[in-house]
Amino acid sequence: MSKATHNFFISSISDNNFEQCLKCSICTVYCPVSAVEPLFPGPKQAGPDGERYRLKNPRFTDDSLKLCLNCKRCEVACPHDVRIGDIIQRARLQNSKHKPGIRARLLASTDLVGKIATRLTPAFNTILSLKTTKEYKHRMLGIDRHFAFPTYARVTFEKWFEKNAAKKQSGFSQQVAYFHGCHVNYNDTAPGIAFVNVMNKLGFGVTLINDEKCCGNPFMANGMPQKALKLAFHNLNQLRLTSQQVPIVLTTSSTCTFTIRDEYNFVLGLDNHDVRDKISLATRFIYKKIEDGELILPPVKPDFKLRIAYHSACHMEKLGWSFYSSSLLRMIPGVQLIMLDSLCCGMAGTYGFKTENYRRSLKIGEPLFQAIREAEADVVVTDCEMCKQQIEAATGARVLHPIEVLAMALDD
Amino acid sequence: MKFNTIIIGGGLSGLTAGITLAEQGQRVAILATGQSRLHFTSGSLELLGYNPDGSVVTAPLQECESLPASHPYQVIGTQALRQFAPHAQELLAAAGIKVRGNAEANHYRISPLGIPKPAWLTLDDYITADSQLSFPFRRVLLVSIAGYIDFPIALLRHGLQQCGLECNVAEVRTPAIENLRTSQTEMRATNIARILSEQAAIDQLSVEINRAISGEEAILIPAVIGIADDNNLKYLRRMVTRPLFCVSTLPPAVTGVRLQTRLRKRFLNLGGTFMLGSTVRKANFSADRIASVTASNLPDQKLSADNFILATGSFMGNGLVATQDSIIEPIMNLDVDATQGRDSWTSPRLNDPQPYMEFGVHTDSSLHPAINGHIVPNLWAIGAVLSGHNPISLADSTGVDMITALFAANDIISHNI
Repeated sequence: MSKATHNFFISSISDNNFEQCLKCSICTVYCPVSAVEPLFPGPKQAGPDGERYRLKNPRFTDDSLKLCLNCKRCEVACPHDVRIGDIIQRARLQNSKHKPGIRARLLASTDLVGKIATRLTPAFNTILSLKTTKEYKHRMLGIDRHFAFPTYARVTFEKWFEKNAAKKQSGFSQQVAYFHGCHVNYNDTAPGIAFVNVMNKLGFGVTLINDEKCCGNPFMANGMPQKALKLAFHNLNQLRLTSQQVPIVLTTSSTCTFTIRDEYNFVLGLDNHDVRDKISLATRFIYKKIEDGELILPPVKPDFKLRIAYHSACHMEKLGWSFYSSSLLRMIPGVQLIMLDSLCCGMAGTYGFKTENYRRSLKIGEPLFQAIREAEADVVVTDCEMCKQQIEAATGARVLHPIEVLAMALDD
Repeated sequence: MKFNTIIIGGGLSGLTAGITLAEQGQRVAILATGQSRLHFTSGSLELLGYNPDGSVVTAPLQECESLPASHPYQVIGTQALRQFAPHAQELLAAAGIKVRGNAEANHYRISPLGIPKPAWLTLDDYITADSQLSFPFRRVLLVSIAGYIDFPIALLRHGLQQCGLECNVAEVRTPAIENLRTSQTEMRATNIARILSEQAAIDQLSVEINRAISGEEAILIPAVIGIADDNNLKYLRRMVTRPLFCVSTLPPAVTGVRLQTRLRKRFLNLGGTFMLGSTVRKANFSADRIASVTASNLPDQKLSADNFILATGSFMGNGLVATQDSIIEPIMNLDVDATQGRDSWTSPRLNDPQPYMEFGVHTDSSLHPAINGHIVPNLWAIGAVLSGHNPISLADSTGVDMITALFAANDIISHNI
């Protein structure tokens, strides 16, 4: 019925569509930074407008680009598919004159700091929470004294897995690989443990990626493209090796997923097409299996009741995957789901840690915090670990990952 | 993912159809590339503002009879216009958008450049004149905000004077808004509205406005308040000592964003799924019917439905694409009404009606498009993607959006019972 193969969509000369910008300014309406910070020239100005000048001469690169959260809400709003956020990220990485300082290195080195910290917990957590430490971090490093630094796990997820789960995984006929991400490994292992339990209950064994390293996102955000590239190369290779044995790679972190699938290609310029489609969030994988009739949700605890406010993280919006997580939650009997308006929490990875950003970060998140207070839910659920950190600190609400909710609901 | 109806496009027409279908209990998804033309809407909607000969329409429901047969109102029958125009108003009210006006008689809105233009519905808080172009006041204070770049105050004042108003101008500045001037390029309506979303900032503004008033009967301010709702505008109206009305501004328009926000919220509250950032690239057919569509950001996800609505807009929304020598509907290559030869697409005089503006998807009288002359029975085309209307010379765009959307949604509902 449809006419012969065609592709009538306007193709661009640039790979980020910057010449498709109509100057309509719709992106600025949805920029969470523009809403609170007059020093930020806004996504249109910082993105496609500024790019025209930067292409002529990189010295037109402006320091205010640093104020961008890389939330990509400008891209989601753009009627013409201009990759505004990517334009800004690349300009920052390619043209920045600043050398990353100690703080940037510390914040970005999730693996290194995580390895040291988990070995020293709980002493490390105590030290982090000391007033003098906070004061030192604030003055010497520029990590805001008000900020509740993520606590570190006593036992890393990888160690927990090795000790408690690894042996029985071969007993399952179907296998999935798991890219856990740094936060699950070093800070909050609960979503990772819940993931293994859920997958086992659904009949899947779990394999870890051999020698998984940080996805590199914090290095991109802190101006260290070479480090990010090195990690991206490493992870792509490891993912290729793993997927030869186990072709399905699942994740629980929306930002790691987004980084590997999209930022590796669009921001770092790596060819990841062979890996990209093998990686999926666990919620999306489970939802699709149920929808295709290949999986039936096992029985849920008979008295399970939970009023959930679902927060759609920025990178979930960009992926277009909030539908999967929220729909999967809706499938759980006893769940009452409230969809919060999709708004940025202001944390953006390591952005909200920094002294110069701390207040702005909270101001950005305020409309979301207000909505959470009004929702009067038992828990807030989100796919992003850093949103969790920010929402818990700002509202006192209990925040869970969707997979944790599923693990709680399933009958033993 | 399986839905009763999938709507491609999330602007005024797509949302109108989506809300109507969801109200009837349908499972509906709206897929949109990005935000829509609604962001450029001033405070008014238009059903039919001008006749093809350029004369002003005073009674749209009568004068639509003389539109050419190719106009969407004639395609679906002008009876539909009578039937659905009141529905449009109810739909807006249910979404929390209060409007004035009706389809029997146009009133006048004031354009951002100060020119009176015929309108169908206008947001309650805007300045309007009746069909005789008379206002309920004579002396007005036109308030401008220092540093605001999209408010051509001299033109506006001149226009209002031409309408017979006595117009004084006062420039106000408040600490909160002055802070925004750090970034001069960002002094736009929506950014100012963010500042004015805090009540303290409204307090500051009301003090300055009250100080500027001398003998005027009413206050006019640029529409820079109320991005999510009109609560702060109501608050300001209580705080000033004269009746206060908004004047529309150049885009991006605060009221346009509010319309989009309210309608989307209404759709979501009715259980609809709104997927932003999802460009539909392909429709998958089963015989002559569409079985599913595929979106750019979900390439391995089949989005299936019984019915599909094309609400992708005109050239700006990429609902239509101009290649070197032809006009194309890019998703399904639907049959399009357009003249042959690039030279015939435009008129040499800029202000003349431009032929390309009337180009669009050809449909039957039920708004079903066709491929190579074969009707697609489970597809409806609505809004700006339709051929035969001209949003500028006829001032009919929002009317075509809402009326064709209501027509298609009701057609779908009547077939699914």
